[in-house]
Amino acid sequence: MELDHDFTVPVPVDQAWPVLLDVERVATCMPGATLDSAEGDEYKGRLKVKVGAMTITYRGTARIVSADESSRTVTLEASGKEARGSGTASSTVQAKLHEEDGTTRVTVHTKLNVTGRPAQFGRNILAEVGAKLIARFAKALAEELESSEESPAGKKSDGKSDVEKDAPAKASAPAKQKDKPAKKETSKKPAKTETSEKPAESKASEKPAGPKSSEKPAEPEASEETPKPEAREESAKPKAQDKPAKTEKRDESAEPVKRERPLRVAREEDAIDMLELAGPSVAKRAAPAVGGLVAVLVAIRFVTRRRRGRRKR
Amino acid sequence: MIPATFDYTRPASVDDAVRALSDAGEDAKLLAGGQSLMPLLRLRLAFPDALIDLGRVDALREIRDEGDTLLVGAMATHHQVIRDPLVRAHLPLLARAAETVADPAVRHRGTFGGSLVHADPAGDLPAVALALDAVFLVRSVRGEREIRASEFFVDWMTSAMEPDELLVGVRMPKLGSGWGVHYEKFHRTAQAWAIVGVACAVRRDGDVVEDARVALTNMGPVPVRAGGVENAVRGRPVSEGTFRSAAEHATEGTEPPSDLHGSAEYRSHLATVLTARALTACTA
Amino acid sequence: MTVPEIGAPRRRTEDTRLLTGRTRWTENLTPAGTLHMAFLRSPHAHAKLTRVDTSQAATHPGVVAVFSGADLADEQGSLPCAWIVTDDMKHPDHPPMGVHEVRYVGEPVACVVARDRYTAVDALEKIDVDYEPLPAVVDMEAAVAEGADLVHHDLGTNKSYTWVYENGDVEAALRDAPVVIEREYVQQRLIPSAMEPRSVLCVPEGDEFTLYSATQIPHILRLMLAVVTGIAEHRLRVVAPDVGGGFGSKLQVYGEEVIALLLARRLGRPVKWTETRSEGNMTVHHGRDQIQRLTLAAERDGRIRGLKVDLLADMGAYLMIVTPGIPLLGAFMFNGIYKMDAYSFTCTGVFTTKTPTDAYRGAGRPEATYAIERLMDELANELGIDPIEVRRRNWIAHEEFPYETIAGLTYDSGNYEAATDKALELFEYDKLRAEQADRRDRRDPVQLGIGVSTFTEMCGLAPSRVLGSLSYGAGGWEHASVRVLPTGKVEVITGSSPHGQGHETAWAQIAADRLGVPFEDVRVLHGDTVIAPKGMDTYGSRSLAVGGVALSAACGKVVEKARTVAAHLLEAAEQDLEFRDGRFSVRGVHEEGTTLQEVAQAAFTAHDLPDGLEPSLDADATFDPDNFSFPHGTHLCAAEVDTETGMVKLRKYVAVDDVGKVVNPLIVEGQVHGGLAQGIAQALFEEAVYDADGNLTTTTLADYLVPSAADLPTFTTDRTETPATSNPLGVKGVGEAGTIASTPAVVNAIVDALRPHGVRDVPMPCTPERVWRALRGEAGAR
Repeated sequence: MELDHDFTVPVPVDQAWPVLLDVERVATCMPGATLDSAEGDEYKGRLKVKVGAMTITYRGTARIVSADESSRTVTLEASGKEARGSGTASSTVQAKLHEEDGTTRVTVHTKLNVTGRPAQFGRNILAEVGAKLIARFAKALAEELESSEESPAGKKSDGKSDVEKDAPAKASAPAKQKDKPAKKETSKKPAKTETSEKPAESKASEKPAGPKSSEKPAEPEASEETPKPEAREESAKPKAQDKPAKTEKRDESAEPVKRERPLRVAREEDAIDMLELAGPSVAKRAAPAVGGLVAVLVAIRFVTRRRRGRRKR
Repeated sequence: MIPATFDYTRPASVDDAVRALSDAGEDAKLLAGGQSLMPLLRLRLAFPDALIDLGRVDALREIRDEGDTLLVGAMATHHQVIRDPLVRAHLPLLARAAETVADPAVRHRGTFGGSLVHADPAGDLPAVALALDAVFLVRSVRGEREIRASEFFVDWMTSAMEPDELLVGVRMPKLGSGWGVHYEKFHRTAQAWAIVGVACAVRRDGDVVEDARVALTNMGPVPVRAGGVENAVRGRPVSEGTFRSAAEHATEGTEPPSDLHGSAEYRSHLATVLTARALTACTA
Repeated sequence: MTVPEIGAPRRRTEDTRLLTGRTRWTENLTPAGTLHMAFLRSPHAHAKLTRVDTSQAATHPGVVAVFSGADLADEQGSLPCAWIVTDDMKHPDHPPMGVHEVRYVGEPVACVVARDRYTAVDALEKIDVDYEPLPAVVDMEAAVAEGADLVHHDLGTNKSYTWVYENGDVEAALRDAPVVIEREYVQQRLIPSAMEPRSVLCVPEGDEFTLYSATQIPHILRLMLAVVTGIAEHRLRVVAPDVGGGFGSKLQVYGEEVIALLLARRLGRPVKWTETRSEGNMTVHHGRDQIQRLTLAAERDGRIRGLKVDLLADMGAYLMIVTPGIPLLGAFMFNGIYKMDAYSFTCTGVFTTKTPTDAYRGAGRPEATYAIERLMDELANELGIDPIEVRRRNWIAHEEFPYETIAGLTYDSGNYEAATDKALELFEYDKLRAEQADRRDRRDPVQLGIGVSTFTEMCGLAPSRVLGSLSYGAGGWEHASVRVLPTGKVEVITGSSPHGQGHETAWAQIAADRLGVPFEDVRVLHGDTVIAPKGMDTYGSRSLAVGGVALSAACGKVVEKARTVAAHLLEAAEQDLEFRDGRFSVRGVHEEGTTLQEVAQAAFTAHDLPDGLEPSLDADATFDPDNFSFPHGTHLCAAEVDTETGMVKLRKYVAVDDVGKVVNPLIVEGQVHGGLAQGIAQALFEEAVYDADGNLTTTTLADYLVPSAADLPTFTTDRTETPATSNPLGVKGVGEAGTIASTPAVVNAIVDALRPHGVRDVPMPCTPERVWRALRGEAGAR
């Protein structure tokens, strides 16, 4: 499957370029992706995709295979294996920057190759999920690049204010991505993306956000304002203790690496289910809390915020 | 395929079920008739930590007359829905569509609620619920809330329900008199999913269409209410011409998938043809 | 005293246990201590195996052992191909589990053996494999083009073989004939879809092994397993217990069977494996998959001058037991029931990175029949002649039999006129043609089409000499034994191996008829190389026409021996005895006699037997006919085609088959119904679909659409009866007839309905979308 996305960010090419070379920043744009470690220029991580009752988790690596400054083209390759199946996924993402009157038009060409069970159905799970995933990635990348406005080239985008960052995000959202129907199958689905984007924008402004989360005005923030179901958070703890077998499995998933660099994103729980981002508006899903102790809620909100905060990346 | 390990509980009441669901955490799944979830388990596309089997929660199987509305319990089987005199009398569209679900074995095991919560846009009943302005009653340990059908189906195989919520039942306004109904399902074999389906109800006043409800199956990641078609027939004379030109609106707001069973282009064509036929059938 | 058993519509005695499942399916057999296998399979269509790490899986609790292909490389051998069709045929190694490279999605790369099946599958998740993807080769035409990516690099080509048959000057016919029709048809890939999945259990006892398998071919399997593994043939027993369908898919020696045997030997414990449906869809051999380029030359009066056939046949990634020979079985059938002056046939076997193909119900003959029957309709249309009439002008008249065809076969008997006349009458042909005209006039959105198929097939796959001349690796005889037990009950042992056909009933009828014993007194034993040591198994509609005839011959021998004993007991001359209804009596003196049962007892006690006569009443017989048998028939199909949606609905289907003498008309009826369903399925529903990367996207029955009764019309079936002369029973075989005949009948009907719209073909399966696209003038649409 090949997908094309195209968007413009209001920063000069010189400012956008270094962001593209930063795998850690680029990887955070992939919904559901988690980087675990880095070795040389190769990054190890996971991608968890959740659709309805289906869950597919990939473990694999990503690296920049070429960066041509003269043509402003970066090619990133990522490949992985299913954590619980025999399938594989690999993608080549080529992003090219074009100078346009002081702004930058970014074209992203993605080749996605998936094998194993998800590729073995007549109803095209790939088309439904893959395209959406890449569309989300492109959108997040757009936001990441815009945020580079505040972060000088080569420097990590720490410590900028929400206000600075939110404004371009909002401005950029409409009509940033455009379909290229010429490509086979699906590129992306405008209406769908639109519905999922709207809530994201409306939420961005409410965001409290620590330094990390400020990099990306992503959507689940609103949920922090909403009391989350205490059950889930409560259960998260006992699960780890009561079910040693499962915990063990999780531990094994951490790839043994010879030399680890500290990464900005490196925690198991950070794996995002893609539809939580792409699909339902959080506002719609927000449940009115009935019952439950206020004290517990406060505690849980704290946990929720931390988890959600990480998830966003 | 052989499913991966999961914990299994079989509560006997709704309260016990929502508590069990809450206790089991985010990776638990409710098991209703199992006609969608079991295949996913068997193919190892789903790995829930726990399954909470609702098979013994008899209260969820009830179909109740509430005056202006019917409440269909989430665990009512398709077979039960098809045979139920209340459904046949007041929501014939639902009975008609449920008759087309898969095959007899599936209809005896599969449940109304289960197929709605699965939110498969190729499922027949989501479009029916949408056409009937259904309201979904969901419960969790945090309490109960209602979700309108128009807000229930949020994306491909994704409903507005939280992971700790259980669908108790679905409330649907009785159609009342003067309505003709039809579910036009287009599929290649009897047990196959709809390539496209049209759930349709038309109320006529003499030779004029007074009201209409039209919703489409498998024309996007969620079932689609064909508002453009409804508007185009309201107040118009009952005629093939009316229906054919109204059906031209059928594809508005749709994003049909392209897959092994049909291209998006073909589905769009079918939606138009089948909508006209469904409208005609409702007034025949 | 008794009604003749041959010809009686008996209900099948085996059905109670088969339909309830309370029987010996292989999966139902689990001896104490059985270990369970699960296979890790390649998700790639084509890849190098750079690393297969089984260490994590090996330590998974409950796992007994884990093997990669490399672990077994020294002993697993190569799966056999028994049909080397040309001297220079390219024949790659086919290890049961991939060692260096995998070439189709689903090819096994490792195997877990565990204490239970769940654990085995869980442990698969812990095997870590590194693949280096290689280019998938999914398109046959691209595969044979210059510079194509190769499936087997060392072969240097994707062509396995090119096989040619020529008779007469086809080029001259094509050059000179006033009417030349060129068409290209595609036989889509099909998945056999037997109701029972594959299943194998191997039980070691010392250095001996009993292998239970859901197979059609216990005898061939035993021989091949011995050859592949080096385990001595006499140490190996193969049992095909009750088997739930095969359609050719279980005419195979599968890697999983070899691995089960090897691991039972290594581990010294019973080892078992049963596939899941989605696993089976990927790895059971597939059927059909041909591109047919056809040229038919004819005179203006419709008389056929010549036919040129050029095939690309998809072998898949490897050659399995008879893979290369399957399209060649069609070589002799493209001429159908017609006379012509010249014929040429060329077939190129092509490797692709897909599941290997092999025999599937009809095996080569449906492809050929489809081509010629579609062409006959095209010819009729070209000339403006009724399709029945154009066939009449070309077919072999009943007085012309035996007839040597342009393809070199001798059709022994047939009466195409009779079958066709009967079919036309049952179908109400003229009435439906009138309705068709009316709908055309009215521009009815639902158009009516009428499809004709006047088919024949070669079956009773036997003549060992013919098979030998085609370089097939075995003979085609069949064996039967009959034992009359001391109490007079009868055991029949057959070398054919039923998997749903109803042999236990039909064979009991033959024995009861020939021996004059009650039907209930006969038991039929089969499918076990110890119980039935000789046999060539069941495929190619051969069981009755070869095995049934062997049984009849064995019964004849029993009667002859019994006659000797009876004459001795009755103190009469053998030639004075007559045998009727199970009793010998002196001709003209009916009161004086002895029953077969009494003779059996005497033969058992051996107290008073003629000098030199061996005790016991039993006999063996082997039958090897000198020709195939040629069932034929006329099928007519009326299809309604919705021109707005493309939906096809079969309105009426008439099948008049001539399968020669009939042993059990109920079984024949059932075989025809099932065959029709399967042939119609090819026309309308089924297709194994690979994407451009070589992923099979029809791994479940939600995507691979096997029709049910709800999707099919009520069939009208009838028969004419022209006995075969190639065997003494006059039987021909009926297992494949319905499948072979029905596919072209359906597609002819669809095309006939749409001709006024300019449609002259719809690719199979004729899905509603394809019909719709054909109506829009898009040829070869999806």
